[in-house]
Amino acid sequence: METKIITADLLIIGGGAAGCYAAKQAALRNPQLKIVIAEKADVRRSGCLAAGVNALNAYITKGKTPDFYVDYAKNDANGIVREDLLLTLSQRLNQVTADLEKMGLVILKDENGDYVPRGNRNIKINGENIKEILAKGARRQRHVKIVNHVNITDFLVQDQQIYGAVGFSPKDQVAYTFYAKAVLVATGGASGLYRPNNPGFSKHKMWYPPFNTGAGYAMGIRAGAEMTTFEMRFIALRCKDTIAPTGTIAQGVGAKQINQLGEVYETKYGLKTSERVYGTVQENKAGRGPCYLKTTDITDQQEQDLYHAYLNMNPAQTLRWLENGGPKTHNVEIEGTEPYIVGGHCASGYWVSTDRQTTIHGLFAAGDVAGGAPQKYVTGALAEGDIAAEAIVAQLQTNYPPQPATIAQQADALIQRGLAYFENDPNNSSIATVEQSMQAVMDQYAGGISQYYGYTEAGLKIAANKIKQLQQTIEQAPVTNMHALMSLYEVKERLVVCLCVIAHLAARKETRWHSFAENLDFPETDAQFNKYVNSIYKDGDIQIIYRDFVKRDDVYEHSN
Amino acid sequence: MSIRIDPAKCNGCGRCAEICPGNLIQMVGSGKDRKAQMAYPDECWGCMSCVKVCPVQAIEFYIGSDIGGQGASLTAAVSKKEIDWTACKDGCILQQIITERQKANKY
Repeated sequence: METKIITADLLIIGGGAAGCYAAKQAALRNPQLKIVIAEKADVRRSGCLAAGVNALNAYITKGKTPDFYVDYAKNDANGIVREDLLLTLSQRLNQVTADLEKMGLVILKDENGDYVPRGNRNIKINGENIKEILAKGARRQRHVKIVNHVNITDFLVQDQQIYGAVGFSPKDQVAYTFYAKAVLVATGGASGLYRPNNPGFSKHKMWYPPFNTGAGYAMGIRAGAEMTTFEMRFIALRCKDTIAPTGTIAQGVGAKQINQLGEVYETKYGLKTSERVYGTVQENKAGRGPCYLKTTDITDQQEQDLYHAYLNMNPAQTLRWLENGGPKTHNVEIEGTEPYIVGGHCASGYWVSTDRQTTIHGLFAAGDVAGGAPQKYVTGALAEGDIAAEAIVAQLQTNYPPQPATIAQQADALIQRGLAYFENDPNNSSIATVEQSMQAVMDQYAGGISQYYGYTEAGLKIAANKIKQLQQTIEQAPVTNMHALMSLYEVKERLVVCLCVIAHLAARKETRWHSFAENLDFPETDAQFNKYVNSIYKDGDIQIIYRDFVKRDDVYEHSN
Repeated sequence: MSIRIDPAKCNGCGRCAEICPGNLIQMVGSGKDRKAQMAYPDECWGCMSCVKVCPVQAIEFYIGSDIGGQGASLTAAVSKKEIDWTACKDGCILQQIITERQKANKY
């Protein structure tokens, strides 16, 4: 296999919302910097924004303040947030939105030229091409180089200092080594940990992109970075089968959640993100399911508007309606998805300083991979990209430790190990088998769909043991081509993330959020756990650290 | 949930293989016979990036029968100003919808 070495001042892993924006903002602050984006797919249509997005869900609307947004996110997460992170990103939400509009995003305006709000925190857009716009923003900078179709598999770290990363391009059959003074990890969150709603042919028709496999988390965990709040899983309430968003129907035409008896149940359980899922679960458990969004009373015009809106972000739902009858004919059936780990909606991810540096020196994190700041969504990811870019540009002006000679050996060994997977016995258990086993274990013993998201300590112990066994099995799985090699790495990444999720679920001995972390041994909220559950991977095990809350006006720096 | 590529329409440009966020489409053959092929249909997310980037509308999207699909398909013709979506079933058009690219969603 061909090998390529690329050297840069700043390596950005993942050309999604946070990564593309950080590249542009770092380049604008210091046009001399050599910046490289290593992207798994093609920056024009990669990550969770590939199909488009229907609204910007984090914006400070007229009369509201950044503090209002922090209060909202804190309340929705029942207090387990980093207020310093939420505040600093909230302060930049409107400037990144204005920048997005300048870059070409269509935003709905009223006759006074003000953005039209959707509720208190959202604004209406045409987000079909938002990813192309963001990619163009990065590509236009002279010293930003984009390397598409390269899967980064490992960081190059020594003594808690980052020096780069290695990866493979399945398309070009190239093994890459990137050396950089600073690295921004912006790979997104993790899907595919739990058995999905539809495990057959349409197993990848899920809420979050199936290609976001938690690589960024796994690389950090393995390198000993501190992680936070992996127990706060995200479960989306979605349209059945297509797993399309429900918020556009609920907020767009004011549709209420009803059970099979036609009763509006959402007010019974509360309106927080986790409570909306929990209510639907409870109605199903009580025999009052299936549950729906009541849409049959909408007008013809509203139905057509919904067709348009979904074509701009999730066209499968429009096709479903055209094929099977629209929302005016049938109420829209809803269900909860399998759990995901994603820092843009919940608080799971890297434990970062206020300027978004991880506990590994020179490694920064932004977007879904960064923890502590739930409800950040697209604009919050951009804001974090900007915050990290600012800190990185400043840090790059200081002295850097020279690259130790052992780093090149480390890179070579990692590439050789990847190539060695081609020697695995072709009769061993397949990668797909290991993946299905992992998803079944997580589903049954770590609170998946089949368990109504509940789990016990005893079950979590079984899950941890089984996941560790699967970590051995995957090392022996047969690899016949580059696509399979990447699949093997993806399952490896997911297994590490699973182990971390299990340890965190066990460590929060309370139920802080229904469904997201439904601890059947401890079904109540317990003030003792007004703390962050953090972890570090050491000697093959996840070690838990409880940390006190960081205050809103604090500037948090790592002490180690 | 996946896509079908019509080899008779495919011009072999390879744009779909470049854009697929899962690297699921491969180019096979050479010269005039170079065609795009969906190599991993059960790994498709359904994002429609390939459907939209195809300059000759050779790619259609369908919903898998395991989640209730009954054979209907969706294609898109993208121009600077609009996207012209066509839903078909059994050779008949179910509906055509034009989404204007400079117009924000009402919802």
